[in-house]
Parts: sequence; C-alpha cells; structure tokens
Amino acid sequence: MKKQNPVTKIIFKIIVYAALIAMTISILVPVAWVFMASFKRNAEFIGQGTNPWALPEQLQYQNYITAFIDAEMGKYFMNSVIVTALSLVLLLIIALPAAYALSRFDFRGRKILNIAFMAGLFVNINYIVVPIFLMLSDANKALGVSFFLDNRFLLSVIYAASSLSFSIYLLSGYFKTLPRGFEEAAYIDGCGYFKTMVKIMIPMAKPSILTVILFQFLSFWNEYIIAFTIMDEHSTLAVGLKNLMAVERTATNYGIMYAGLVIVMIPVLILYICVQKQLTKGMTLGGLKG
Amino acid sequence: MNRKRAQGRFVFFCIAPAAILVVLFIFVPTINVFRMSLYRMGGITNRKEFVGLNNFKSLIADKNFLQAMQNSIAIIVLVTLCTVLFAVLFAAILSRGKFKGKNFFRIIFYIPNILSIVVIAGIFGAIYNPSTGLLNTFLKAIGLESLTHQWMGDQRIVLYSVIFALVWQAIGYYMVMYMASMAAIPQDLYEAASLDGATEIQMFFQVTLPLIWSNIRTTLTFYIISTINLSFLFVQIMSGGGPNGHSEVFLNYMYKQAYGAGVYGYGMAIGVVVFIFSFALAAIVNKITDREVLEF
Amino acid sequence: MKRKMVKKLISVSLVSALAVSMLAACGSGSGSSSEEGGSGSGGDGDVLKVAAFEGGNGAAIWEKIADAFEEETGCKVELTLSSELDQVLTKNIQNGDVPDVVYYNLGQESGFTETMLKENAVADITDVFDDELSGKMLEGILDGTAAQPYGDGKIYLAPIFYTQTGFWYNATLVGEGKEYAVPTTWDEMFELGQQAKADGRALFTYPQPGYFDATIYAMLAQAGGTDFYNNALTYDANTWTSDEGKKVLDTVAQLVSSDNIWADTVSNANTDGGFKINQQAVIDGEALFMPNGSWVVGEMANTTPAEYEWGVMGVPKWSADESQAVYTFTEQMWIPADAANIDLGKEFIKFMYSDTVVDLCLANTTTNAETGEESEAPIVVPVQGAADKLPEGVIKSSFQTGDDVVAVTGTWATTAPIEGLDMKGSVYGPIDSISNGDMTVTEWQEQLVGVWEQCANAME
Repeated sequence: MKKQNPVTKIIFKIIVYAALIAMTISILVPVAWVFMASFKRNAEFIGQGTNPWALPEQLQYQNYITAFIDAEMGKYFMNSVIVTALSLVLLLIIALPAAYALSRFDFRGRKILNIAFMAGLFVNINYIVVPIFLMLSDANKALGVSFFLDNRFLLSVIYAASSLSFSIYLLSGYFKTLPRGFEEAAYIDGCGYFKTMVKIMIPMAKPSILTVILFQFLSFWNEYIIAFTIMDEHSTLAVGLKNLMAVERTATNYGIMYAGLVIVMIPVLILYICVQKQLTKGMTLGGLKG
Repeated sequence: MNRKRAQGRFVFFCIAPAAILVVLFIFVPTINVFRMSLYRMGGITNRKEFVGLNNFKSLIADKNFLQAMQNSIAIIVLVTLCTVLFAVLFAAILSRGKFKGKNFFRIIFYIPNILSIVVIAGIFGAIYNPSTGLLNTFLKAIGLESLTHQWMGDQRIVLYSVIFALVWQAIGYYMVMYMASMAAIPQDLYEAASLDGATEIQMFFQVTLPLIWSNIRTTLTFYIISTINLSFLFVQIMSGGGPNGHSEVFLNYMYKQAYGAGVYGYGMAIGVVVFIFSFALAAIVNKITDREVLEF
Repeated sequence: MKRKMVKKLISVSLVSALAVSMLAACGSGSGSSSEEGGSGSGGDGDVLKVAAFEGGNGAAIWEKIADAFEEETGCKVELTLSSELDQVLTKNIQNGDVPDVVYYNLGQESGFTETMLKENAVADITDVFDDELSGKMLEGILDGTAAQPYGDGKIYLAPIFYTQTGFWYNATLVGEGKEYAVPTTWDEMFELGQQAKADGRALFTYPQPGYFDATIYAMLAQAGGTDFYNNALTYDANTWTSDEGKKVLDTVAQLVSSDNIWADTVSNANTDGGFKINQQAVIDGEALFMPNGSWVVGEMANTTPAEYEWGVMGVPKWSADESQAVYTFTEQMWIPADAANIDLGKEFIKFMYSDTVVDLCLANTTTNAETGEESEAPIVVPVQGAADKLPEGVIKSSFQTGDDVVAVTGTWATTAPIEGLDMKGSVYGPIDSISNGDMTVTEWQEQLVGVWEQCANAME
C-alpha cells in the first residue's frame, strides 16, 4: 500500500485477499458440510463410491426427529437455558465487586489476592471435577439429604466459581483503565463506596461486562464435563448431546450424530449473529489491556 | 480513620463472596488432587493406600509420560507461534486495510470459536480421512496427488494435523482481541508516521506491534492454559493419542491413567505436574517477554 | 469412544433342571432363600439393581431378561442401561450407590472391569457354578483368566455371552471356486497376499490395533501350545524372547507390513469411528481379511450390499499338520463386592444360563435407528448346544469349529495396578508403528519384554 508504487499496492492487495478468502473457505466449507451431512443417510457416509462432497440423495430430515427425541432435547434445552442464565447472573454479581475492589483500592493483601485469583486460571476443570463431585456427595451423606447433587442452582454456582478467575482478571483489567476522577467526584457528591460502584463505575464497565457475558455464555452452554458428573435428571443440553453421540457412535448412525450437532449449534450461531456487533464492539472497548 | 475502616469493610464484602467460591470450588478440590496424588487408588471405590511420593517417582521413569510431555510442549510452542502470527497479521489487515468486506471476514473468522469441540473434531475427521477426506480428494482433483498424506495415520505428521486444527480454531478469537487493542491506538500516531514517509509495513512494526505488545503478552498466558486444555479435547476425539502414542498429550494421558488403567492416584500426580508446569511456563514466558510498555 | 462392540450369537440350551434351582432366592413363597443368608433375600418386593452395558446388542434384550427374571422370582429388577456404563457406574459407586450385578466386559477402552478387579472390588462367585451348572457350560469356558482373573482357582467373572473370533473375509472374492482360495497356513496366506497385490487389492486390514487381542492369543496358543499360552497370560519372562513368541511377532509384522496392509488402515484406526471404514474396506474388496468377531455382520449391515457374503476362518497356522487354535471371546457379568444383594445377584447370574434367557438371546434383534428396520442380532450364551440352534449362515459357521481345533480362552492376567502402564497401548499400539515402518519387530519385542517384567512383578 505504498503510495509511491501502485503495482506493489495491487500485488499486496491480491495477497491479502487470497489469504482472507482462503481462511474464509476453510471455515465456511466444513461448517456447511456438517449441515449437509446431517441430512444424509448412513449409507452415504461409508461404502464404495461415497463422495463426501456429494449432496444428500434425499433430505433425511428424520435424522433431526430421531436426534431430538433420543437426546430428550426438549427437556435438556430448558435446563440449559436456566443454568446458563443463572450462572451468568451469579457470575456478574460476584465478579464485578471483586474485580472493582481489586483494581481500584489499595489494601493489604491485595497482591496476594490477585495472585490467588490468577492461580485459579491454571486449574483445569478436568482434574478437579471428581474431587468436587466427592465433596458434594460427602455433603449429602453427612447431612442425609440429596440436595447437593443434581441441583441446577449448585451447578450454576460451580460454573460461576469456575469462571471467576478469568472474569475478574478481565474486568479488573478494564477497571484499571478508567480515570480516577469519577470516583473522587462521586465521593465529593456524597456517594458511599457501594453507591459509587453500583451507580457510577459498573455502568461504565458495560463493554467489558458484555464481553464476559458473551464469552461465558458460550462456555456455559457447551460445558458438559461438570454437568455430566454432578447432574442426573436435570442435566443440560451438552450432556444430552454427549449421550446421543455415545449411543449413535456405538450404533454408528452418522446422520443422526450430525443432526444432534446442528441442533446444539444453531442457538449459538443465531445468538452470535444477533450479537456479533456488540461482541466485537465490546472487545474493542473492553478488550484486555496489560 | 473512620473512612479507612469503612473502606476496609467495603473491600471485604466485595471480595469475600468471590474468595469463598474460589476457595471452595477451585482451591479445595485442587488441594484434594494434590492429596490424592500421594495415594495408590483406583478411584472407583474408596480403597486406597498411602504411597508418599512414589507416584511422582514412577512418573520420572515413565516413557509414555515423557512422550506426552514432549508432544504437549511442541503443541504449545507451535500453536502459540502460528496463532500469534496469523491472528496479528489478519488483525492488522482488517484494522488498517481499506477494502470492502472487512466486517464479513471478521464475523466469519470468529465462527470456529463458537462451535463445540465435538463439531470441530467431526469436521476435521471429514477433512483428514485418507481416501474420502476433503483434503486428499481436493489435492487429487487439482493434480497434486503427490501431496496427499495419511494425515492422521503417519506418526510423523499426526501431531501437525492436530496443531493445524488447534490453530484454525484459535485464530479468530485472538484476532478479534488484537483488533480490539489496535482500535485503541490513536489515529494520529499513524498520521504522523505517514507524514514521515513510513510504509504500511513499517508502520506495522514501528507503531502497531509495540503498542499491542502488552496485549500479546497477556494472551500468551491464555495460549498456554487453553492449548493444554484444548489439545486434550481435540486429541481425545481426533486420534485418541495414536498412532502408538505419537499424538498423546499430557491431559489425555492423565485421563487414560486415572480412568482407564486403574491408577487414579497416579493420574492425579500427572495433574499436579501439569498444573505446576503450566504455572511455571506462564511465569517464565511472562518474564522473558517483559519489556518496557509503550503507552499512548 | 472407540469401543469394541460386541454382538453375539445365539444359543440353545439343553438346560433343564436349572430353572428350578434358580428361583430360590426371592421367589414368592420359597423359604429356601433365607438359608442362603445374605441381605437380599426377602421375598417379593426385593429390588435387584442390574447395570448393563448398552452396546451392539441393543437395550431390548436386557429389558426382556429383566422381565423374565421378575416373573420367575417375583422380585423387582431396577435396570441401568448405558453405552457409557463405566462413567455412570464410577459416579454411582463413588456416591455409594452400588449395583448388584454388572454386565461390562474386559478389554473395553475404559478398563472399568479391570480397575474394579485391581481394587479387589469384585465378589467371588465361584459357588454360582455348582456341578450342575458347570456341567452344562461349554467345556473350558470357566477355566481361563477371563473367568478367574487372578488365576487363583476362584471365579469372579461369569462368562454370559461368547463368540468365536478369527479372520473375517470377503467371501464374495475368497472361497472355493472364487478368485482366491481360503488359506489355512501362513505361507498360503502370504502367497495370497502376492496374488491380491497383483490385482490391486490388499491382503489385510484391521479395525483398530486392539482387535489383535484375540488374534495374538490364538497365535500364542498355536505357536507354543496350551502350557506356553497359559504361561504367557501370567507373564512368563520368556514369552517374547522364545522362538514361539518371536514367531508370533514376526508373523504379525509381516501381515501388517506395507506389502499386505490396506494403505488407509492406520489412519482410520486412530480416528473416531474410523474402524468402520476399515471394516468397509473388506466389504468393498479393497482388503480381503481382518480380525473381528461375529458382531461385525450386524454392525456393518447398513452398508453391506445384498449380494455380499461374509466368510470366517481361524487364524492361519504355521504348518499344515498342526491343530488349529481358535480363540473364544467371552463377555462377562460380575457382582461388586460392596453390593447389597449379593445372593440375589448370584441368582440373577444363574438365571443368565437358563433356557429362558438362552432363547431370548438367540431371538435378539436390533432396530436400525435410521430406518426402523429390525435385524437379527442373535447372542449366544456359552452353554452346550446353544450355538447349534443358530440359523444357518456365516454366524453359525463361525461357531462351528471343526474337530481338529483347540479352543482357547483367557486374557492377560489381572495384576496389581501399575503406574504408567497402558496394557492395550503397549501391547497392540506398536502394530500401528510397525505397519508404518516406524518401528522394528525387535523394538516391539523389547517393549513387550519390559511390560511382561512389570506385570510379573505386580502379580501377587
């Protein structure tokens, strides 16, 4: 794009477009392929002369019905909505004040707390899920109740806890960038700490809150390891899909498997298309800094 | 004085709920993982036997673990390098370039990130299949038959096939992040550079890169954490660690040992090592990338 | 994820008296149950918790068996079916909810049953197999390490279903008067490989390296005889350095070398669901032989052309005058040591060998989720005569081992847990690498010697 040399500019542009288009194709083709595959019959996946590029011989929409019924999608769908919403609410109520206090106040132990929350980032959910399960199971036994397992509220609490480190990290990074003056002005106006936080500072953090919501929505919606371990009757959609995949893989019904994938993917895709503007705007304003 | 106390109380109530939850559901289970790594136990029933540091001793001599470790490190390094390279490049093009369809590309590039791992693994299964896969059939169609490979079968290639999938999945996410911090760079810096006669490429190296450096640094920690986790999920579905352990990564190996080989305590010992390893790696990376931060 | 599914065949049984003895435990009005002691015997209203793996056999068979047991005894059966039974049960047992009877066989990817054995959490059920019951069982089926995992003469695992394994082949191409003759020795096998190669076909493929388990068991028995084989299962140090062991490894290596193997085999073996593509290669005539079991027929039914024929033969032998070793694959049912109703659980296991269950299993069908079509999926209970009742066809022929055959059972013996050892991965995993040419037989042999040493040390 040198002003001086139009030829270089054109070549540069061609290369840029080629790279962008190659990446686009590598994304769109496989995604479209999954949609197409979800309408195929089993015989179109393996066997002589099967062509992965071929269109479905007929629209095997039955795949969707089977997937929907086998995975009890209707029941799990509601659970997923409840758990995801509840987790997000809990997460924000807990993470925002913590992030605010950690980033805008000086107090003893702040450094240690920061490090402790950071350390939480390195804990992988894959290995703490069994200890969590055992802890809840022991709590049940100790109190003689069955409250602690298969409880949507507790699942939400655990989801919120598992993403606190990341969210606090992200939010406090944003709070740090806000000028000091706002709070001082608020104090002079007679606002207390709490009111200042709720009325002044949190609204200003809106873009980064949006970022947290959108990131965590995806991870809560797709999470299945914790849900599978501690839930039973009230499990979530991702667990339903996992069960469906397990059954259909054993029976190797590829079409039904892909149909299940599409069913779980669609709400996320629709949501993404609706909010993509805010998502990238949110990141523009609230993106991570230092 | 009073104000100090009021502030102290406020800070306490702000942080306490978060601290309690993190301690209860992150730290206590993690400590339990550390504790269980000292036992020989199967993990199904509660029969167990204290063995001290024996699990860690066996770990040092475990060739399979060392291979998994080697693979994991290769994956972390290569995925990070490739992703940073492409993500920064695309971000720069989409932020600075003046052409149509910028928004379109940005939206599309983010899609892999919202797909569930199962979908992605399914997609790559369809791409890499040797005779009916999208990749090999495409190569044959355009006359490049010599480039076709057993993408998941050849033990010298399989790791790169997994790495490609990981990079493909991560580019969009980090690109959007870098675009965000590029958008925060004041326009007049570019104008000034442009008046000095700097080319677009020089501007990239002299303005853009230094100014988003601290952001890149932050994301390095994310690369370490998420690559360890994602490489496990990908490998578990794409190759199961095969052929013959050549795509094994440490969390997958941990999983196999803890849940498949009847040595749960040993699996937890692997978990402890992975935890310490990732923590140390992040600290080291943080240290060596530390340079003066340019503010704008 | 990569689970070897097991569909089984049928059986018939000449059983008779059995049915009577088995109702004892909770039959209404039967007082005998209480003598057997145990918490579970209390007449009607008893609940027996049965957990069964939902695999290729489908779920319906377990519902039928449970109904029949309820009818016979008057107690209630609470059934847990899952295709991820290992995960479900791990969770339940940790939570203190222990099933009374479990159907989950050895050799699964999850190693769940092996882990339970290593934890000593499986109950001794030797007394289930009284003289009467063991008399009607297939000969030798209770002897091996698949029933007596610790090799101590006590039975912990009840073999409830079985199938004969061997090399399955494309009988449209291979057979009398077909393009290729059925080989009986390895020399003939490899000659056939040359012939096939000239026609652009591969001699051999395998679904996944783990499918070599039955093949290697049969080959070890073939190469060294029963004593050698039993010593190998209990980790005799000379197993792989002996001429016999070396012969097995060399032959496997030759079989999977690039001369004989279908090129895509290793790629597919390591991808999710890819084992079916390898199996399809046999149907499509791209490869001629593969190690498998009779379940493959039903497993591939959807993509098998109507005119296609399966064939099955024992693993070839080294010289024509030897008897042939055929490996019998069993699926196991067992009782957790912490189960509440051990006695009732034992009755249930006995019931698995009754005429009722034998017939139910033979009549088993599975339903295709896509088309709703039912197909026959007979399962065979290892009692004498059961296999004879199978309908004519390749499945039946797989059970008809000739006279000159040595039946082999058993699995690698159960050891104390060994940190860092993945038995399946270290024994069969190298087959992938050898096939690719990235590993030599000597390296494989060294690895096996190391594994055998570790296991021998961990045998109590």
